[in-house]
Parts: sequence; structure tokens; C-alpha cells
Amino acid sequence: MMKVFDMLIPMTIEGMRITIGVFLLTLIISLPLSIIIAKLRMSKNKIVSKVTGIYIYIMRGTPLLLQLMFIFFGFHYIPVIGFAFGRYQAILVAFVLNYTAYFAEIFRGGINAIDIGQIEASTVLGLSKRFTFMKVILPQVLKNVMPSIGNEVITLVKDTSLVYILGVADILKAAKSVSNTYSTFIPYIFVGIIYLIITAVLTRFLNNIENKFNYYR
Amino acid sequence: MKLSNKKSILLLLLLSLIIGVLSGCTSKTSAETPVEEPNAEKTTYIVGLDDTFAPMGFRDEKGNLVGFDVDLANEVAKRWGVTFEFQPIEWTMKENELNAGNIDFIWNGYSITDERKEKVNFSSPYLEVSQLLVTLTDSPINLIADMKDKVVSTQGESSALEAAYSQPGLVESFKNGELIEFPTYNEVFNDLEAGRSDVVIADEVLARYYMKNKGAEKYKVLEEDLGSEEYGVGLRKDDTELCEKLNATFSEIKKDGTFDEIYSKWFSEN
Amino acid sequence: MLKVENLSKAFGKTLVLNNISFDIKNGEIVCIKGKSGEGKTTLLRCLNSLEVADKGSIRIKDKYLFREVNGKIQYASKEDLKELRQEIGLVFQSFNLFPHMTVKENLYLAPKFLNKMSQKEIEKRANELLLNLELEDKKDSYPYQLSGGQRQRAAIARACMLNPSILCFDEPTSALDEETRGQISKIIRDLAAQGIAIIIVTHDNAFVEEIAQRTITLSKGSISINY
Repeated sequence: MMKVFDMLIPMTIEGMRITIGVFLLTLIISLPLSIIIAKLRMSKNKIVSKVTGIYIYIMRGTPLLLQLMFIFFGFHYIPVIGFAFGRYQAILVAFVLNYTAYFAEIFRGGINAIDIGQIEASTVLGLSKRFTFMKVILPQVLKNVMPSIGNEVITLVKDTSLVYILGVADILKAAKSVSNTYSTFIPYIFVGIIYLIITAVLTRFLNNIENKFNYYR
Repeated sequence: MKLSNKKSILLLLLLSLIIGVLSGCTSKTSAETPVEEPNAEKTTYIVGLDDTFAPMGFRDEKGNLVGFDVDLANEVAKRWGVTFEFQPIEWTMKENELNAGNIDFIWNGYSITDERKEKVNFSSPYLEVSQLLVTLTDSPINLIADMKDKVVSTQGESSALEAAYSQPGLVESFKNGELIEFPTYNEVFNDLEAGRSDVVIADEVLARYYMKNKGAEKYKVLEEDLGSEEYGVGLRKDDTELCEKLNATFSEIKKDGTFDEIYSKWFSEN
Repeated sequence: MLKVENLSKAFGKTLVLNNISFDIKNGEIVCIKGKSGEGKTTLLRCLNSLEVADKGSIRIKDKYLFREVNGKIQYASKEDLKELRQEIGLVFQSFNLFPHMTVKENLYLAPKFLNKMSQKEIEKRANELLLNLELEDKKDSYPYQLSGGQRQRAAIARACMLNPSILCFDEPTSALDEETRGQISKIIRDLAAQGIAIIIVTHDNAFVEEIAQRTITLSKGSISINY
């Protein structure tokens, strides 16, 4: 039994680099990007709005697993494109494209829900559109969308395990490795607990943020 | 205001990440370069494998990549004077990885089948393995005929599965006419031990490794089996030269006894 | 101070404002009356550039908010628009305070953006206004913590931060009770005494009686009475 953990713990730590790495990088890039995409989706320019809408539709309408496969393997079949993604780049691209779409829709909903009076008051006070968005609209939107964003963030932790399809070793793969070497199920239980711990920490953190926004009603 | 400092740092981070990703995209790492030059000039080959497949290619307690296939491949690399890099892949994507040029060999207990022959080139076979039927020691099942109306399971996407379906009427004779599939043999044997499955069909190599780990006395291997198959190395269809070279080296290795050394290291039970 | 000429505005097929003309002098308190849907709010919104007019012109002090050039409506340049928006302010019916900012932050925001006053000057002006409107002790409170009357006064203070020469009110008495009505009358009179032209859109006749120096009645988009 001990030898199982002798192998499991170092491999899990290695795997965590991928699990946490994909998680953080995806969030850092997707969140700001999604605000931009949300605004594009709400653009008065019909073409911009439509194209963005199609992108969001595709990313939300197909499984992330499929997107990973397509971005890494599928590009090979498209002759026009002159390059192919490396394994880790493909992961980042797929995750960012996917989560940006989901976040964008959440932000779009949040922005639309803001009372138009806020924008009118800003207009009448002579504030520029950008200043209004950054200082008046966005802070209020963030408070409103935090729960939904939090949900997606928790989902993202679990989605990181999909990197297996490109042969990349996250903590779930570590479990599989050890499990197969020692013919035991225990590594999966261990990694399951790790996921639970990560989720618990994350939930606490997200709740803290939500509470910070409760300084006003 | 504090916010503008934080924001600009974040923005910078964002930009550098995006730039990093984009610049990385334009050049695949050397490990991923598709084979374009003639084989004679290559000094590095990529061997694709599922690194969780004990005992053919898997991780030991220190996390090192070990296994029968690993040793065999390294022997070939030694004789060619080149480097073999081992790239872990998802097994279900193996042909995709090969054809995309991410790997040069599928080398992982890859059973030679007619179906697969349509997609890849196979080297000459280097190992013969049977599809075993395994029960618990005290099971009343001794013959294939005894498997009628019993609960049978195996690993999904495996040669064992194919072997079962290739026998007309066999799967239909099982309980509910179904052959239960699990993702790995761990779950398959688990089901056997739990008493939910009466008999399992398993690749010999995997089965013996599992049983060795758990204590072979718990199990009974039936005399009859569902046929045998051969393992070969998968190559791209147009890599004919490479394939021939590999076959030649396999012959050498078998003739001079190196193969037997490697074999006895991993399959001493047999 | 304010000169409206031949202002017309249609929404689709409906002509909501039909050839409106009037002007307002410094320190005048003008009430715009009329039944619901007769164009009062639209007029107010046109004055504050929340709606785009179809015809006519509006001049504030010495600049045109918009006027007709060769039969087409031409609005003021971006620079001029910025100035004009400081000249005319609007207190909304629902106040539209920024809920995520304290009262004083609500007041600071626009002057900060315009960057014409130093932080000290902004704070000084805000304190003055809050003192006059009896909101001094609420300056660090959030809008949700204020009563209706306090919110209105905060909205007025916010509108006054930029020293407008015209201040508009949209239905100022709709949300208030009798007592606070009296308060708002006083506030408006004080503002007018400082020389600010006041335009009040309302259907509260009692209030009109109380406070109007002049009344414009809109009926089906046209001015029927103007005294």
C-alpha cells in the first residue's frame, strides 16, 4: 500500500502543474477576453454581432473534448492552414476559446440587466462611453455575474482532466498510471479527494469575492 | 489609484501570455515535426504510447517509463544509433497522432488486425499473445461452453473485445446477450472479484500482469482461449523504408538472443 | 439662456413633438405640463441629448446643441457637446444614482472625468452642495441606505456639481410625500435664486401652482399655453 502512495504522491504533484496551470491560464486569458467578446456580441454592427454569435454558438454547442481533438488533430486536415498547434498550445487555445464563449454570454446577460437609467445618467453627466462602462456599468455587472462566473470556474477545474485526449498528464492521468502499475483503484479515490479539496478552496475563495461585493445592495 | 496599477500589470501579463502562445504556435517543437526528410537523415524518432499500459509501457514507482515495449524500442534505437523519444498519447487517438506526424511509431502492445492494417503499416510481429478467459479460482466455469448465460466483461476497444465478437454467436450466448465493457482491466478484474462478472476476457499480457500484482492464486485461467494475436509496431503507410528497416532489426534482435533477454525480464511467469 | 425653436420629434409614424418653440431666461422656473404621453418627457430628453431631434434647433447660452443645416439636423461637435452637457443637468424621476458608489463618490465622478477641477476643489464643492441640501452626514452612505427624499437631494447635488446654468427635473414630486414636497420646493427656489434656469416636467398641478413662474402646457405635442 505504501508503495502505491510512494508513486502516487510525486506523480500527483507533477500532474497538479498541468491541472492548476491549465486552470489559471485559461481564467487569466478568458475572463478579460470574454468582456470584449460580450461587447462585440452586443455591437450595433450587424456583421460583428452575427459573427461573434456564431463563434459563441459553435463553442457552446460542441463538447470541449471535441474541440481539443479538432484543434490539435483536425488542423492537419485543413490544407490552407500552414501551421499546427503544439500539444500545450492546443490545450490553451481550446480551453480559452471555449470558456471565453461561456463567460461572454454571462457578461452579456449581466450587462443587459443593468438599468438603462445608469447609462442615461452617465450620458447626461457628460461621461464618455468608455468611462461609463468601466466605472459605472462594469462594477455593477461584476457583482451580478459573480455567482454564474463562479459556477463556470468550478466546472473548469474538472474540465482540465480532458487534457488526457492529447496524452498530457494531469492528476487524473497520474491516478490512471499508478492504478495500472499497481492494479489498484485507490489512486482514483485519492485524486477524487484532491479534486474535492481544490473545489472546496475555490468555493471559499469565490464566496469571499461575492461577499466583498455586498458592500451595497 | 491602486486599481490602475493592478490593471496594467494584469494587462501586461495577458499580453505576454498571448504573445507567448502565438509565437509558440508558429513552430512546433522538434518533437512534433512531421517526418518530411528522408529517414536516413533523421536522428530522432518519436515513439507514441499509452504510458499507463502495464507491462508494455508504463511508469514504475519512481515515475520512470519502463516496460517490454520500452526496452525493445530502446534496443532498436541503440542499434540504429539514433534517439527515440517517448511521447505519451491517448490510446484512442493513436492513429490520429501517427498520421498527423506527431509520432513515428505506435508501439504499445498494438495488436495486428485487418481493420488496423487499412489505416497503418505494421512491422513484422514481435510478440504473440492470446485472449485469455479468466475466472475466480473456485468458479464452476471451465470451458467456453460453460460461459453460456454468464456475465462476461472485458476492456473496451481491446483485442479481447474484438476476439469475442469475431466468434459467431458467442456474445449472444452470454447473459442478456451482452459483453460488458470497462475502460481498463482494473475495472474488469474488479468486477470479477466483486462477483458481478463471472468470467472476463483479457489480453494475456495485461491479464498476467494484473494477476501477478494481485496474487495469481486467486484466479483461474481457462485452458481454452479465444485465439491469439500478434503485436506489431504501427507506422505510417508511406513509411515503407522505415518499416523494412525496423523489420530487419527485429530479425537481428531475435536471432542474437537479445529478444529472449528482454522477454524473460518481463514475462518470467510465462 | 435657452432657446428652443421649431423642435419636432417623431417616433416611427407618431409625431410626438410638433414644432415646439419657447425660451427660458436665467433664474426662471418653468413647468411643463400635459397629460401622459403628450410629449413632456420627450422634450426633456431632447434638451438633454438623450433623444435625437428630427427638426428644429436648441440653443443653450451661446452654443447650439443642434440645428438644421441645409434641411438636416446637425449636432454640436464633440467638444461643444461636452461643454453643453455641463451647462444643462437632469434630475431623473428615478434618480439613477450609482448604487455601487457612496453619495460623495457619486458627486465626484463627473468632475473627475472632466478633469477641470483639482481633487480639493471637487471635494470642496461637493461639501458645499451636501451642506446646503442637508446631506452632509450621509456623504459616505450608499444610495440603498438613503430615504427617497435623501436620494433625490443626492441626485440634485450630483447634477449641480458641474455648475449647470439649466437644471431639469422629471416628475420631482412623484415619489415624495407632502412634507418632502415642501422641501423640494424650497430647494428649487434656492437654485433659481442662484440664477439657474429650472425646467420641471410634472403633472402634479398643486406643485405647479406652488412653484411655477411660467407654465407651458403640451397637448398632443404642441404648445397650447405658454404663460
